[in-house]
Amino acid sequence: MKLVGILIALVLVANGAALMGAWRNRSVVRSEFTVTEEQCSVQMGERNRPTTYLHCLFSQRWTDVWLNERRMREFGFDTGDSDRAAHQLPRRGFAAIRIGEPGAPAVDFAFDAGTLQERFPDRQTHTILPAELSATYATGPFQPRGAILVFLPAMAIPHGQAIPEQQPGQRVRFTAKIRIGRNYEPWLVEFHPR
Amino acid sequence: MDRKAAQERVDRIAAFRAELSALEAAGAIELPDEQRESLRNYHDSLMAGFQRDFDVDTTAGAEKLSLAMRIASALGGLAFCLALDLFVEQFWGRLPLAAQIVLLVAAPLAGIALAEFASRRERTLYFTSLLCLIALAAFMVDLTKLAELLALRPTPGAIFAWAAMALLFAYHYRLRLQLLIGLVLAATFVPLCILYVAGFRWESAFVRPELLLIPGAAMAWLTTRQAADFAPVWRAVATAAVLGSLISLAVWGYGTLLPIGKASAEGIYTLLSFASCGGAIAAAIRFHWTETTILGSVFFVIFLLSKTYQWLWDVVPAYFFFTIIGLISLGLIAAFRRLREANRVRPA
Repeated sequence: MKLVGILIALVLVANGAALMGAWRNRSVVRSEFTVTEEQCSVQMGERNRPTTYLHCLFSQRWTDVWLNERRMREFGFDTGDSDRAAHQLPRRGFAAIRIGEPGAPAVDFAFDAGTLQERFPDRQTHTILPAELSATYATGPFQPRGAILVFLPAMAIPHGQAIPEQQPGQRVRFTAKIRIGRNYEPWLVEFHPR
Repeated sequence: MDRKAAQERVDRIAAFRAELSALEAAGAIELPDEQRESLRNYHDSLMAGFQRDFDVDTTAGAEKLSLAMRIASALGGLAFCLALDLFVEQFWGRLPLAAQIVLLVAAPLAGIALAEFASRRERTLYFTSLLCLIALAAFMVDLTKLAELLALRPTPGAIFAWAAMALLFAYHYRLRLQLLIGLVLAATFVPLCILYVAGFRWESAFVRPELLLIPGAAMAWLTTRQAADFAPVWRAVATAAVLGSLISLAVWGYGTLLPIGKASAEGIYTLLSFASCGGAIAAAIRFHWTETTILGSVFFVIFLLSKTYQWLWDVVPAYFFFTIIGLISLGLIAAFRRLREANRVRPA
C-alpha cells in the first residue's frame, strides 16, 4: 500500500510541476506579437488525430554576418578546420528575434536571456525566445559560421476554430497572436484564418 | 520460495520422472513398487501445493498456454496503450481545458488503483501486468498531452518520471517486462540529462554514445545486487548499453567525447568492442547467463558486419564483399561450435 502511495504521489508531483510551470509562465507577459503564414504554419489534424497545431520555426542560416568566426569562438565553439569541429553539438540559449519582419530574423544570441533583455529592451520590436546555436560550414573555402534555430513548442488551435478547406499543397492563411511568458514559453491567444 | 523457484522445482520433477521411466525401460534401474509409489505420492503432493500456492504449470501443455498468456498480456497492453492515445486524440479538443487536465491526471491514477486491485485477486499477475502497462501508457500520454496542451518545452524530466513509475511497478509486483521498460528509460534518461544540464541540445544525446556507458556500467555493477529473477534483465540492458555504445563509436568515431580524431577514436573503440564482445560472451558462458550470451553474440555479429562494410565496401567488388561476409559467418559458426564443445559435459 505504501508503494501505491508513492506511485500516486509521483503522478501528482509530475503533473503539479507541469501545471505550476505553465501557471508561472503565464503570470507574466514578456512580449506579445502577431504571426502569419509567413513565419508559422498550420498542421491540420486528420481522421485519427483531429487536433490542429500551429508550428512556428524561425531559423537563420548564412543570412547575417554577425554570427562570424569570432562570435562563434566567444560562444565556446571550436572554429578550427577539423573533424571534431564539424561535429559539435548545438548549444541551448536565447535569441533576440526582430518581430514584424518577414521571417522574423534572429539578430543576437546569448546563453542567458537577461543579457538580451538589456540589449533589446523594446518589446514592440524584439522578443527573446529560447534558441539553439550550431556551427555550420560553408561549402567551398573553409568558413565557419553559426546557425540559429528558434522554434516554439507546437500550440494546439482551439477545436471550434473553423479553418477553410484548403486545396492540396495550399497553405492555410491566418493571423495569430502569441504571448511569451516568464519562462519564455509561448501560448496562443488568438487565431483567425483568412 | 517464489513462483520462479516453484516452477523450476516442478520442471525438475517432470524431467526426473521422464528420465526414471527411460532408465526403467532400458533396464538400468528397477525401483520396488512401494518406493516408486511413495516417490510418486510425494511429488504429486509437492506439485499440488505449488499449483495451489504459486499457480505453476505442471504439464508441458500448461506451460505453453502460460507463454501464450504472457504474449497476449504484452500485446494487449500495447493495443490498450495505442487505443488510449488515439481515444484521447479523437475526443480531446471538444472538452474544456479543466476537464482535459482532470482526465489526463485521473487516467494513470485509475490504472494504478486497478493494478493494485487485480494484484490482490490473482497469483499469476497477468492482468496486473497488463494494467501496469496501461497505467504507464496513461502516464506517458498524460505528460505528453499536458505539454502539448500548455505548449511546454519538453525536458528529460518526463522520461525520469516514466522510468520511476515502471521501476516502482516492477519491484512492487515483481514484473520483468516493466523492469525492462524502466531500465531502458533510465538508461536513456542519463545521457539526455547530462546534455541538458551541460546546456547542449539534449535530443542529440545519441550522437555522443559514450554517455550511454555511464548507465551501462552502473547497471552492470548493480546487477550483482539483484534477485535471481531480475538479474538477467539488468544484465541484458547493461550489456546492450555498453556494447551498443562501444560499437557505435567503433563505426562512427565522430561521436567521441575524447580529445582525439575520428580515425583514432574508431581504432580505439574497434579494439574495445572486440574485447568487450569477447569478454561478455566468455563471462556469459562461464556463469550460464543465457541473455548475455545471446546479446553478446548478436552485438559481435553486428560489429563484425559493420566494420567489414566500413573497411571493404568501397574497396572490393560487391560479390567479393558478400563472399567475405559468408566466410565470416562460417568462421563464427566454427568459433561458436568450439565454445559449445568446450562447455559440453564430459562423461566421467
